[in-house]
Amino acid sequence: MPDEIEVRTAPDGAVVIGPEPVGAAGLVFVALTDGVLVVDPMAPHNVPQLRLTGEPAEATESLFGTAVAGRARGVDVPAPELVASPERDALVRLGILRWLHERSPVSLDLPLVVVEQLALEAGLTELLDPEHHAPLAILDWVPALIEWSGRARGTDSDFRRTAEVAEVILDGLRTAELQLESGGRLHSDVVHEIELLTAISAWGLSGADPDGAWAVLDELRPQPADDLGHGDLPSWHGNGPVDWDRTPPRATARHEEAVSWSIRGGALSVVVDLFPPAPHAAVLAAPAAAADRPGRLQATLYASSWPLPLASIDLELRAESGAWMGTHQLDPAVLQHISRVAETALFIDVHARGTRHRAPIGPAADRASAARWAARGLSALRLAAAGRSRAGLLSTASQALTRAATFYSGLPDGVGGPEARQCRALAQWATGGGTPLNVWRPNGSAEADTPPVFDPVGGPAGPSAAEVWYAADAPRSE
Amino acid sequence: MTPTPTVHSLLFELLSGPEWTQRLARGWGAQRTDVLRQIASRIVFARWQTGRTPQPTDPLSVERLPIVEAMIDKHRPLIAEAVDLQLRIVGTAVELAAEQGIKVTRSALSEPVSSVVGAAYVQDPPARLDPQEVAQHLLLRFTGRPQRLTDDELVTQYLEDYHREWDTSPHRDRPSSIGLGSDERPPFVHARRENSWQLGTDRSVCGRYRLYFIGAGRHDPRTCADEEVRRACAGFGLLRPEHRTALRSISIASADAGRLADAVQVWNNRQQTRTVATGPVDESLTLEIAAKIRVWFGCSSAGKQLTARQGDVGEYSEVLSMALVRKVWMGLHAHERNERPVLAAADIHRLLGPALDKAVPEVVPQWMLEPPTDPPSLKRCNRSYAVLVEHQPLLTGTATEYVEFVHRKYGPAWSELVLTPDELRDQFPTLFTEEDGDA
Repeated sequence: MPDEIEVRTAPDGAVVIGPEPVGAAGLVFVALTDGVLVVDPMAPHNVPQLRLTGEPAEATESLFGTAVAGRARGVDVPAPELVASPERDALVRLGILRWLHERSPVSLDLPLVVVEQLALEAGLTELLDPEHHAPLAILDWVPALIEWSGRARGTDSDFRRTAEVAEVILDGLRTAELQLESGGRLHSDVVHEIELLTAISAWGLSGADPDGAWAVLDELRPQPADDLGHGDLPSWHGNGPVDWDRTPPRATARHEEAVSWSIRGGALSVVVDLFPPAPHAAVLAAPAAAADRPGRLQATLYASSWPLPLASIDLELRAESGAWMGTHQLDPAVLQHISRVAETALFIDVHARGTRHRAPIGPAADRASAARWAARGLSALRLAAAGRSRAGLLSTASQALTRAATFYSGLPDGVGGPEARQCRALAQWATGGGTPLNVWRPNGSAEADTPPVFDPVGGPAGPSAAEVWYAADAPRSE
Repeated sequence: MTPTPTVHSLLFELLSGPEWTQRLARGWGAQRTDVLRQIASRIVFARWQTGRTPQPTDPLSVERLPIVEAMIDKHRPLIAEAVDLQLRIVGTAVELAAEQGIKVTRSALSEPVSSVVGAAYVQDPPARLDPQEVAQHLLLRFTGRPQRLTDDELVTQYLEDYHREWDTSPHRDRPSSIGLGSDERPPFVHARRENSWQLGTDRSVCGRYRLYFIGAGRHDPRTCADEEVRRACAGFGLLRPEHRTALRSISIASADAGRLADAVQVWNNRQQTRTVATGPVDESLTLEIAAKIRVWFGCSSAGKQLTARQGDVGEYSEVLSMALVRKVWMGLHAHERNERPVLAAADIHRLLGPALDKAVPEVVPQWMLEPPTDPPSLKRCNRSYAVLVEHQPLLTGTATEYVEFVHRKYGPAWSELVLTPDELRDQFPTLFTEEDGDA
């Protein structure tokens, strides 16, 4: 019996196609002409949900077929089934690239993620909402693409260690060529680079360096931030995480102990690790228009026994130290309050300047922590699929996902139940070796069709060029 | 879930094979989607031999699948022949265009040429096409179209008018009052590409003018420019008063409208056919919008994720409102461009869906990290926190008690040294709830 696809009307009247997503590591929303596609990067093998914002039209038909579009229009179609759709697969991949862009805990070479994203979007322009994506954005990247292409032609170039990188550069150049007016100098340069790179790609590429240093796990494991100094022990000190939703992407490190703080001699000092540079940042600079803005950060001190902040300080970006730093002499009344509480009851919240205060404790903080561990687990799974250090990464993924499941399970009223189950399923999958798995369904018919495949890193969710290149330096573990 | 193949997915698979890479390479003038729809699908469906002809995205049964696969394989040489013809026509058209000084790209030719070739190959045997003749005929489409004025032409012909019109306009409706943009004169030409709804009224006049030419709409370029200059100088960048009322009504809609069940009822009972009032605000519309926002947060995946990550909607109602106002402004701008006569409540309801589903998840998490207003100084904040931790009964007291205390401690200039009750309540809504705190 083929799989049926659910079409229902939400309480606000919007027509929703497909199952409710779980999204333990977060969801991605892709704006289409007919609605918004909800991609769950932890479950790319499942059907993404489409929430319509108007009448179903071309996008709905391309993604789910004529029968589903008919049902969404109110036509009484009996049990529409899920049809294959290359466009839906491409949009799922786009969702995953956007997730990597926003949430990757490891420092992938972001320019590659962006160019792969823009090239993919160029093939989907008929389905994407023109108000929510910028087809001309690729033009900002043309000088960079030409430079990368030139480097990729060198016989001992780093760019030639992974075929995927050259393909992304080529795709980026081809996408840019469509947007440039023919006859111009830039257009000629792009055409020239396309011809040369196509020829070079056809010759084949050399392998990765097996002796290359690799620090891929750094962001996926707990590790303390910078030491706060020597001499007498501080009166109070601790480590903690940064809430990814309260700081600009890639402003701070994404491991769970990125913040170090101490109170010594009445002064509060805070050090926050910077997001580490990508491995190939020196040769893959993003154009100024697309570069990250670090923003302005503050740190706020809380005690679990007091509902308001005790003090806030500005953090200064100290690139030479690889950290954000700040210090502040605490008010005597605050110090007196602190003297009555245990060290473990003090917390630091690092946040963008001017955002609402929120103590980093309680269910909201636990949920944020769960989502971070889920993202680390997913990231490790994806790198395992991309690289050679498979066993170690799968073990890391399993541990991170198990920890995420524990946090989700602990949320009050069972609200994190579906997310916990999703994390556990992926953890088990990682423990089992991370190979595609046929899943039995109680309502399925084994003889009629193939059981659905559980494969969170296969098909359209396969590794991006940036992940392949990042993992290319991994030591061999098997 | 295991998807069922369709004719569309099988043809896509066929056209993704290595033998097609060169033919369908980007920029060559035969885009995969055009070839798939206009040529490959039409060739296959015109020669369908196995029962009722399905739609391209209808599922194929297990019995039918091998038959259709064999049929597609059989027509593969014909599809290849048709694509090669398409590329010849595109190449000829580009050469002719260059000779005749017509601006056209290979990509722009892909769809019309696919359409002509597909129509010829529907016939069996295919109709013969002369590439020279077809190319010349197609180029006529590109010569007769109204061309929009370039930015340079707009500057030369309209910049002075724009400045004059702006200087004499009353500017009663300030964009900043509803989070639509800054109150400065919008730039005439923008330095960078601007194709985002996020700009609101900070979009340049040239950028607004370009909106006319997005999509299929082709208008008289000068009439459009005249109108857009006038519109840019009007309140909220819109000429019609009911459009401005709609935006004001959205901007004051509460983002936290009580119980979900009540909101669902208000939304389900909304009046769709009535026209939007032209007063300062349309109160019924405001209530309906507040209900929609409440329901959206309660039932959509994006709304739930936003609450889980960013907390209660009250914490970011300002940026939420900015996102809604700016996205709906784009819709109202289009409403004016298309000269639609009446603005019904249903029009706003329709614009609100994409605003919530597409605009809010895109920008609210990002804008929350760049608050539109400057926060109070840290010195004042830290002094206030110390006051409250030292005199803890103030935490549960009234605003008046707080003011009396800080006045005694810091003198008449206390508000320069510590936060006012309003500033504290803005950060911590549970403070001083027992009185209004109008100190």
